[in-house]
Amino acid sequence: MRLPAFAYELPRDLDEALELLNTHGTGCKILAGGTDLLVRMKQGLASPSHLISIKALPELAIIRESGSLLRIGAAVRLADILTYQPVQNRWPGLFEAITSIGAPSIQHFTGTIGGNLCQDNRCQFYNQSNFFRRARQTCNKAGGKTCFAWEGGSDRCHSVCQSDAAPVLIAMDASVVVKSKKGQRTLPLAELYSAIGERPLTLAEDEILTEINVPGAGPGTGTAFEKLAYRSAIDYSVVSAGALVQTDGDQIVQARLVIGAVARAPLTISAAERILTGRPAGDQQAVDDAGRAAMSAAEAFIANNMAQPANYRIQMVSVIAKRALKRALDRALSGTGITEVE
Amino acid sequence: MKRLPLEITVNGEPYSLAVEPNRTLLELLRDDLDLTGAKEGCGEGVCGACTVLMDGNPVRSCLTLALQAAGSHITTVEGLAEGGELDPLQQSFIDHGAVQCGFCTSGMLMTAKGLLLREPSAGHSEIRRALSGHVCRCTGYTKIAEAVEAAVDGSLEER
Repeated sequence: MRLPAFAYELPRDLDEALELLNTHGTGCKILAGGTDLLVRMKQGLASPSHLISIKALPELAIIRESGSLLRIGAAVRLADILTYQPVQNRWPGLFEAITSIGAPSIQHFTGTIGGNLCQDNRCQFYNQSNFFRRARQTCNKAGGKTCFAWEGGSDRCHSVCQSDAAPVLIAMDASVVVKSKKGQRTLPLAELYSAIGERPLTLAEDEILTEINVPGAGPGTGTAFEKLAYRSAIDYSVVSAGALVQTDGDQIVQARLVIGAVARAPLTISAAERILTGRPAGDQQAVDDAGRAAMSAAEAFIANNMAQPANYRIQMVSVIAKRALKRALDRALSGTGITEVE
Repeated sequence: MKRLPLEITVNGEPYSLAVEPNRTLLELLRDDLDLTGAKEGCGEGVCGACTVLMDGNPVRSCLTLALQAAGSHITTVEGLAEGGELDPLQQSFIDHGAVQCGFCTSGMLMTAKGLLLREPSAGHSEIRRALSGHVCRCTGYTKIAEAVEAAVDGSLEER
């Protein structure tokens, strides 16, 4: 499969990259690892006039602890996050999420954290070859006026956000730094997602994601990520869940649960937080209730946008949510990172 | 489309080329340099047949722009043997019957080589995890994993 024509830019620093984005605007796409973008370009789903490679930008390649904060540059390769020892010890949920992405020969040495967070939404009727798509009308996401994933059609796109890094990072209350020629802003990661299928990110045309900031998990806090997929590698999530649980003695004082791969954006289950907060750590009923709350919240969003039947995905939300919560809770109580647990 | 200069080392040999931006590394290797060991299976990064080593690490050459490989050392399956001697991994694939139709073989070899360069004494589960991004439609996975394990046991020599 051939790639369409484009101009290739290799800026040497961030200012040069921002200048290019400002000049070329809508025709630009940022190229990091390319494992999402180049496939879409081959399928004719994206045809940028300019590709700006961020490979040579030193500002986007940092990974370090700053106080209790973990700072990760957007162009840091997934492999470099996995081998960064503090992540294994203190952010086990992030370690699990990154491990689950793609396959070693894709994610380890090519894919980046920024690319995983900024990947386009997916749908089984959209992410297909030109030949496949020509057999039907153009859907909302491709610029048309219908949706095949929603029974009876819809005037909105029902694609799904497939980032595996996002749910657990949102559960950990991560924020992102976004820059443009005009300046910079910091926003919660959850606000990077617009929940609009046609245009899933809230980034402006001249903006670039530069950094992800993850708060440190204090004592008594555990994080976990759980993913259901048909294959152990190169597969998208059927359902995923990121969880953070904080305990004080034998009591849960804070809980966050975010479900991935079910809606247009990662789905924060605020009901789970209400259910779990204040309950004893050993309260099995509370975890079951939180799982059910996640299932009923997700049910409203799950469309026929993946190969798996919607009904199966709905039921599995509760299972995957409970697994993530339980493991986060175990870690909160035992205070261990990923290496000691396994 | 404007061609851009590209300095690249393939199997130890330096090249100074001019390539179009939309040329993938796989197209460069197969069509321009006549190194047809890396195969195009899916062209979308799913099957692993196009895997080559970039500075010792496995990458999908079908999803890598040739220009993204600027300044790097690429090793393809043609560069595994040295001085007429097969790489121990290649010999092990032959000895264990790990090759059926052969289409996935070069990708499997390159990922296995990358793994053993990083972890010379990789174990059963590391090998399986490393190969998990590769598809073999003859479904000969067991023999392939065994061949790689045997190459570890056979004190694979580092290069």
